[in-house]
Amino acid sequence: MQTKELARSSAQQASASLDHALHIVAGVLVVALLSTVTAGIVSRGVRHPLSWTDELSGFLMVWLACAGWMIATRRNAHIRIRFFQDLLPDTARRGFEVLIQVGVALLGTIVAWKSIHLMQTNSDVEAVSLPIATAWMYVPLFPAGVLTAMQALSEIMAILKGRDTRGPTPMPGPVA
Amino acid sequence: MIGLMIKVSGAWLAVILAGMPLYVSMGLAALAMLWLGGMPVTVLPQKMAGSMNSFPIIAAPLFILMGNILAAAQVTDRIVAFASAAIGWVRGGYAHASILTSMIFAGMVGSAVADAAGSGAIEVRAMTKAGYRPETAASITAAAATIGPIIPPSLPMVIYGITADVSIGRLFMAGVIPGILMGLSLMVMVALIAKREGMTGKPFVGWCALAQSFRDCFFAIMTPAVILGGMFSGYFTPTEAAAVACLYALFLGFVVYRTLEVRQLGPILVETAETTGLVMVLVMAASALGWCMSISRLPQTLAPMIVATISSPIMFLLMANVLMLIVGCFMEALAAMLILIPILVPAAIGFGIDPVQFGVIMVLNLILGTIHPPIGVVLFVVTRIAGVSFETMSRAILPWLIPLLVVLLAISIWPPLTLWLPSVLTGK
Repeated sequence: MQTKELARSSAQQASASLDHALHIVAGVLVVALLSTVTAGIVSRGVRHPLSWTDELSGFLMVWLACAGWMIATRRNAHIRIRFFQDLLPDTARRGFEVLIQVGVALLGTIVAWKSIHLMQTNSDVEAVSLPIATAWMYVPLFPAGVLTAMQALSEIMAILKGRDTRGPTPMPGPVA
Repeated sequence: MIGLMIKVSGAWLAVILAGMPLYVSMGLAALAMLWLGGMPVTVLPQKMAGSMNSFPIIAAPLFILMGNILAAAQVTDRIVAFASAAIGWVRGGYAHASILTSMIFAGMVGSAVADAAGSGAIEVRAMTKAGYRPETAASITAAAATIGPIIPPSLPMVIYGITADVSIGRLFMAGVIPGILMGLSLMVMVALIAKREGMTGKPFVGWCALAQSFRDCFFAIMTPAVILGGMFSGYFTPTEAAAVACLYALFLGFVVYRTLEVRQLGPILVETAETTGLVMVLVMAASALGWCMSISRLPQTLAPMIVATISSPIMFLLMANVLMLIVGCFMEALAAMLILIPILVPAAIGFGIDPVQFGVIMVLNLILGTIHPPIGVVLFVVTRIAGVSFETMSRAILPWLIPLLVVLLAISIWPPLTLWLPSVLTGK
């Protein structure tokens, strides 16, 4: 019993640490993106345009999108239509949710797995204006895919253990 | 290949309705297309990352950041005070002030939800205190919030511009007149029903107080001028304008109004990243699916079919409006846009309709879905604020859709309403 509680407590701590680390990385990426775009404007304004700002901001955008994807996954906030699923009886709803989470896990696994292939094939292709390989653009897809798959598997485990699967209410439409 | 695409699309819509997260459903549909079509699956992550590695799309997180900074800096209170002082004294003045607030706020945030959540609480409270029925107050707030994504800056327009390969600057300018018309049409509606509903105004505060309230919010009101002025004077691209607007918002919060604290920056940055992730993962998956669609030549086949079947551009626009309004009722605006753009935009171009005009029509259509049941997210927000039931709100909002639908019809049948301003400012 004590071992189980210890394991649960460790898992919760690891989960909180992961969230904290994700928040720090995401915050840094937002600041870096704003700074890079601003550097492009300022350097052009003083007639010494920097050649690398557009390309770096493109790379940062990929990283930020993936970091945001991971945060939204952790918060169970991705946009989905629950209207029809909620009309189902409890057992059917849970069954559907397991199938949905299998789909989520499949997508996450494939994105993570194939991103390794992309990193390998682009490892010797240098970026145009930056002294780095274009493989760096594909790096954040790996943790994003792994986290998506892991989260889905954890949801499946929870459903099979009988936990309510509705989770927190998703955020309202972000661009609406 | 087209047959395969149609089968995959059918299964994809089924899993969307079954409750699968939209980005997952799009990603799996793309995956199925690649796998069944004998193409390398590596294309999926490649297209996902490639869609983000683009300079114009960076405008999206930066506009989200600007909106979050302005919301945290509490500029809303000042705008509400100014709008009340300026127009609150006429019959139905609180309602008019609410609409004017939304029009001004629309120039600072590009989202109806942000508008409703940001200024909604103050507006609804003021109206109910003045004796308005809570559902009427909430309906006016919700209807006015739809102006948010029409008047620039607008997040849906950034996404449309990138997906449909249309100038974001021209789209922004094209939204100005329709946005103003939406506000005016709602004000006409208020004027028509104010007497019957017993909507009151408040005494005129005097010219000095009006001038003071204007001074208090002057720098906030200047936000759209910074964005649009920079873009159309040729100093910035839309992405750079978004970055400058973020710096301007920080300047307002820390220096001008001093309402922002350093400790608020952490949550602002994380919230920006999360919203960016929610939006961008959809764009990433839609980009992979869009690539599969173009490989299958689905849009290229469907567009001529649509053009051959429908007799005139006006008929096409009316039918597209009905389709988009129905889709908007059941699907989140961004997702619906990403699904419909590859099918409808080529057809619109086939009819000789300017994609800029069609973009404004599409955004307005889908935004109307946010104040309409069953998935009206703005309706959910104002329902919570006003403390009325969703069923009551679903009925109360219906009359307020009429003026907005009139504007939609007007911009559909008379292109100068959207295209005149961009052509004057850009000379194209």
